[in-house]
Amino acid sequence: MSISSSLWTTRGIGSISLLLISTAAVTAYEGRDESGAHFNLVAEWGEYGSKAGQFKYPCMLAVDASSSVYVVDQHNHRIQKFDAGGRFLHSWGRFGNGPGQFNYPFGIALDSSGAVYVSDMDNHRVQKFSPGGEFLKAAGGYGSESGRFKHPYGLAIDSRGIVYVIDTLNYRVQKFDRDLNFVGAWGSQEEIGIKTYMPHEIAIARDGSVILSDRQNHRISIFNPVGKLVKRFGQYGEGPDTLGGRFSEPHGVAVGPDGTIYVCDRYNYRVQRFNPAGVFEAAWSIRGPKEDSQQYVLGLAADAKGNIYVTDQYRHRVLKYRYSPSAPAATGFGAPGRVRK
Amino acid sequence: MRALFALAAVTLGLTLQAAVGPEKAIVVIGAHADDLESLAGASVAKYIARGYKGIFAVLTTHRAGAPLTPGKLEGDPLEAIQLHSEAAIAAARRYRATPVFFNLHPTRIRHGRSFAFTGSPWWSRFMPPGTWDISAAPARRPVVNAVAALLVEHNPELVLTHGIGEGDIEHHSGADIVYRAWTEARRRGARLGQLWFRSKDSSGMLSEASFRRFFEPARVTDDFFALADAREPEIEQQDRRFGPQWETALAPPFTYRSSRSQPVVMAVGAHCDDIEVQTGGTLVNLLRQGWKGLYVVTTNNTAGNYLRGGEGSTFPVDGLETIQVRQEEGRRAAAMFGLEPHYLNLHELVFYLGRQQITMEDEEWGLYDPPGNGPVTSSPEGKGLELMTALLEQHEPDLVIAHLLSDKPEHGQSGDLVYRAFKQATARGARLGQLWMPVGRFLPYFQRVRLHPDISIDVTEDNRLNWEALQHHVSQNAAGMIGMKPQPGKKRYEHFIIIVDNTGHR
Ligand SMILES: [Zn+2]
Repeated sequence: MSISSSLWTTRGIGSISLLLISTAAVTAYEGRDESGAHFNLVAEWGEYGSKAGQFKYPCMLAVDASSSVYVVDQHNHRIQKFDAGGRFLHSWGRFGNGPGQFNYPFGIALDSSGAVYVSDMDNHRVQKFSPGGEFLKAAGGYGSESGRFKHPYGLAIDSRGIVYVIDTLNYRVQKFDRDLNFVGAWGSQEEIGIKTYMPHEIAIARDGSVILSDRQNHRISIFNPVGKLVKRFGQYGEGPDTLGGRFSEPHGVAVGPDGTIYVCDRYNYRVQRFNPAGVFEAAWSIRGPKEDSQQYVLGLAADAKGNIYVTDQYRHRVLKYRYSPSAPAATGFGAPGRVRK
Repeated sequence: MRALFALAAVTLGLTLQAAVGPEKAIVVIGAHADDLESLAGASVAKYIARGYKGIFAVLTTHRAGAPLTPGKLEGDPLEAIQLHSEAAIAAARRYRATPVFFNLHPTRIRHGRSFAFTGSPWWSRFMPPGTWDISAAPARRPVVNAVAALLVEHNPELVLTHGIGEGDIEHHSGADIVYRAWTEARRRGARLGQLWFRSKDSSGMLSEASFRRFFEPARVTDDFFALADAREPEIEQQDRRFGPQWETALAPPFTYRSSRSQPVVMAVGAHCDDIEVQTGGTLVNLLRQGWKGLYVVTTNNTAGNYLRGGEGSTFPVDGLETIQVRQEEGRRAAAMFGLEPHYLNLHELVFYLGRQQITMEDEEWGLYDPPGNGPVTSSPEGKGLELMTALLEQHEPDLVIAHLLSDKPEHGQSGDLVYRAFKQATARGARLGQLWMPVGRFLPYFQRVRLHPDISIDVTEDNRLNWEALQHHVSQNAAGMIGMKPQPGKKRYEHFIIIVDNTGHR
């Protein structure tokens, strides 16, 4: 796949009737993309396979302080590490339930020391590794008691080193310290309002609050660290004219160094950008080599320099974008994106 | 990428002469080229001699492991496919019939000196020409429609095919497709006569006297049952939502091993909610009487998870997550009975990826490689037969309850799998009691013969707990199954036929 054949443009928000922007609170976060921003594809790598640098259905990813990229390579049951340009560095893990082995891993997060935490979904546990992939600790096991899991999905770590894990089929978020000791949990169907609707990914906002993509409710929910719902935004919207701030099954969420919030809007085939208050700013589409070949964005990460990394799950690739607030950047990676038509 | 080259029947050469007036037709539909003669060669010759036009339809591209030239080792699948179609054409010529091909995949292809199943990684790489796997095809509308179109075109007075309950999985799957197609052609107004199923079989469920007795009233020749007749009204016993309103059958004295302090019942469903839907009341009833229970699910449940979308729509969820959701629902439901499910994790015949349906014939099936133990099939090379047999040997249940052949393919294949495992475990010395199949819902094949339950269990007292267990299958919209909801003052029964009874031997 040559990069230049990748057509990527921001999605024209188009002719949304002003009537749709009602006085309801939720729509305060919605809007058209009038930012003039550009998102330039600066690197992409990966293809289907199990060799180094190849992926089978990559899920979440994380970036460390030196912009090395860790990717959960789900159906290869391993973690792969790349440098900032996508060059393979090393990998670890294989199928199994022993230390350092995985049974369909999903989420990944790094703490301030660079240690790597991975949610090992079908082993119902979280594993902790050194930055080099050395196994340090595992916690969990199947069950609904505190510290146990039923299929953990996304995880995130705040500045104090608290690890937040979405314990999806227990309908709760669990908190652990850096050594994976259980420190608390919140959630029940009523409290977080998710019913059975599969929250997927989690990120920490600049002020320490917890951002959760509540997938099947098509919205983003923000909690304080003890699980009080602070804010939520988004509603279902799908199709080429979907207003910014609406979603169709949001998945990955990430927070940039300036507090900007990014959301993978999976079935609108785009990534959306929000200000720290959750107000929609801009969006860009992830389109395949043909106009009709849409790409399924899933995982999302932002590095300290403001680059945004995306996993394209069904094309087994990682895409790296650089945000440019106004003028199109000259790059060798195809035509610059336009935010507005 | 799905090969779509043969959705419609491909009729080769030998165009029929235009006849004066409506011409009578006889259609023989076999799974393989060499089935045509053995199925109905003599009958066809007789009818053709009387001026009928004959159609020989072959469902699969070939039969793996059966060289058409005796003594010659079968070549690679492509060569086998060529030989197979030549054999069908030659057989049709001998009878002055027209060959028709539906190009379904067999359930396996030769891989060196062993076999590869549909959907296995080797299969996906080789990807032989063909459309759908025959064992999954009864659920594929285009396949049923294509066979129906052939019947609508020729309005056959007689359609001859395999018997449901035959031993060969490709044979009984073929019979299932033909039955559905015949019913569809009737619905479309085709001028049909009778549909005959072969009655001879020495290895499958059809060889069981207890199963065969239901069809006996429909016997027309030594070799065939007339399963359906378009000139007769259908027997109305197929209320799909609530099951037939039968007279109840008093249970015969049921003897379990006297050496045992606690009898064992094993309920087997294909999907996570099937036990509650079909036999949950009986399971609760027996547990209440002190039986030990086993809750077994044959498939991995990759499909059937539709979560809420927007504006009233629902979206199918990817295979891996669907397994997690449905198996967790199964655990919660089984826990209501104090049980833990055994998941055999055989592949369901379909899963979703990016809201798209993926079947075994798609490349993505092999790429995604959903966790599981190979397709849900009773084929002797599959893992399912050994897994099921081992479970029966380990627990030696006094009573096993499994799906009846056949409604959804996964149900029918699971029923067949349990039947074969039951026979195999018994042959290996396991002390098993009876095998029952429920006749409460979904009863194909019984348009002309009235099915009577052998046993009716009054589950009026047990249904509340079963209903509560069913509610855990949230992804299946279990709350919508109001036909099962306990109602004050209303009796509820579950009805079964006995397929195998070993208890008389003790
Ligand atoms: Zn089922």
